[in-house]
Amino acid sequence: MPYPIVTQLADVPARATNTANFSNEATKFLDSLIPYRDDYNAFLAYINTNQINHLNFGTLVDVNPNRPTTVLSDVVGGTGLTYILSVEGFYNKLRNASFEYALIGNWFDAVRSSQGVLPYVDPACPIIPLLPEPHTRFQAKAAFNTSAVNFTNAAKASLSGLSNAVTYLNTACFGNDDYGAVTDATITVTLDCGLLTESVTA
Amino acid sequence: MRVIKGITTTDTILSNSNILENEHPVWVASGSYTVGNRRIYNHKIYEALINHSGITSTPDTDKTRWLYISSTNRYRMFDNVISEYSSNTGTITFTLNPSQVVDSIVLLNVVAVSVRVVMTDPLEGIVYDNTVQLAGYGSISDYYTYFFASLGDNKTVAAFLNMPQRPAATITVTVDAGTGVAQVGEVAYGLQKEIGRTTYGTSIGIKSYSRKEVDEFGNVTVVKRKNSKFAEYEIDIDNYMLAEVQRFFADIDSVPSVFVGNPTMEELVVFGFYSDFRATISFPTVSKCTLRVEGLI
Repeated sequence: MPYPIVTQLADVPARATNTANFSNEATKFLDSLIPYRDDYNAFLAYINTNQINHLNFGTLVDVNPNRPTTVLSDVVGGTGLTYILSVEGFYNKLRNASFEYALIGNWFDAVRSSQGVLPYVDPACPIIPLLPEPHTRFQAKAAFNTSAVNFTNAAKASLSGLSNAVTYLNTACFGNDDYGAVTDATITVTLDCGLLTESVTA
Repeated sequence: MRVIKGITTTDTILSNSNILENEHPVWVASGSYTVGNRRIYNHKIYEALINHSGITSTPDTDKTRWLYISSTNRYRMFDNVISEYSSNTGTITFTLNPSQVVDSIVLLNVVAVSVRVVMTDPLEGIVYDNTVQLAGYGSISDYYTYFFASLGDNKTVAAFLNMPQRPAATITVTVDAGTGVAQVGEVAYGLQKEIGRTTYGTSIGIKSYSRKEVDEFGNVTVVKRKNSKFAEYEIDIDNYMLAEVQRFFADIDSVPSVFVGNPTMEELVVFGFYSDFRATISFPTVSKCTLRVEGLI
């Protein structure tokens, strides 16, 4: 089953430079946050539940070792956000990030297809936090502001978490595993790691 | 009341700009051209009217073969047409090297969040650094007001009238539109002259070049065209200044200039030509003057 598609956000309204269309674009943008949030959370749930088996030392020759370069970690947001340019800047970064989910999804599925999945939750793999309900144009002022701040904080944390998770998988699957120097010329012990059919507690 | 006699922008003065001049290829003498081909010559865009080749006369003089379209995007803000603007996504940044004293710069028909002007002297370093906020963001304080507060009345004129006089300085202007598209209709700069005090009674208006025709049945046909500002300034001028002011107006006759009735009132800033100046010596020390200015489109 491939990764869930994430609906892209609508154009970000520009208060200073697109005054004539601001109201229309603001409405469309706010309305697009709802399906975006639902799709994005489904995408995260897919990543979170499909724990890649980085212990499978099979070949990864058909998988691009270069993880998708993302703007996720560069998202600005959260409390202390100054308005107008910072708000527009944050929403534009969020929208730009929505174009990258397909790249991440394709890469993730390629790695998953090659490596398989673990039967347990990898304790070292970051779990990506989901997004809360976004602010909507049907809310009163106080509730709108509370939702907006919460959503912005969560979006920053979630997108950073997604970036960290992708980085972890890239390192775990493609990084060199160095088990130390081989000092003996002759290998006298055979290591049988056995079948990993039982769940392992970290 | 201040008047800034405009300086014509040349390649030498415009030493740098982040707007590329690559909308069309450059016109080449004796080249082959077909109808509809557009070429750039001397920062202006021309369109071929007939197929031709081997012609050396330049497009600005060869009106049989070439039709003038507009200035290039880079030079549109220096072509004395306020309604045609230079544009660029994000910011417009350019540097002027006038090699003469410039103490004022005014940007008109601007769509942006802010405009910053930095003057750098080769010996002293940065001698002026000022930013004018254009967007009406006074009421924006949280997410709710950002989305739902009434759209503020954004300014479209950024005037910098207090720059120091440094004849060798360069002037760098940054027009910032954030994530939007920055637009500038016209940039006018030069040495300002204070000619008197603007008084109450000053009037402003709009001159429309649109045509509205009503036929005998009452049907209206509208041909939308551009419009321009005009202003009739009432000014008090000290009598000892009158001769000097009169010579100054003779000097700027038919020179596009910026007339600043009040720098804080955008409606009293007009870029254009004066059409009439009249002074009545009303009192022993002060004359009552009227200055009519026709703005450019």
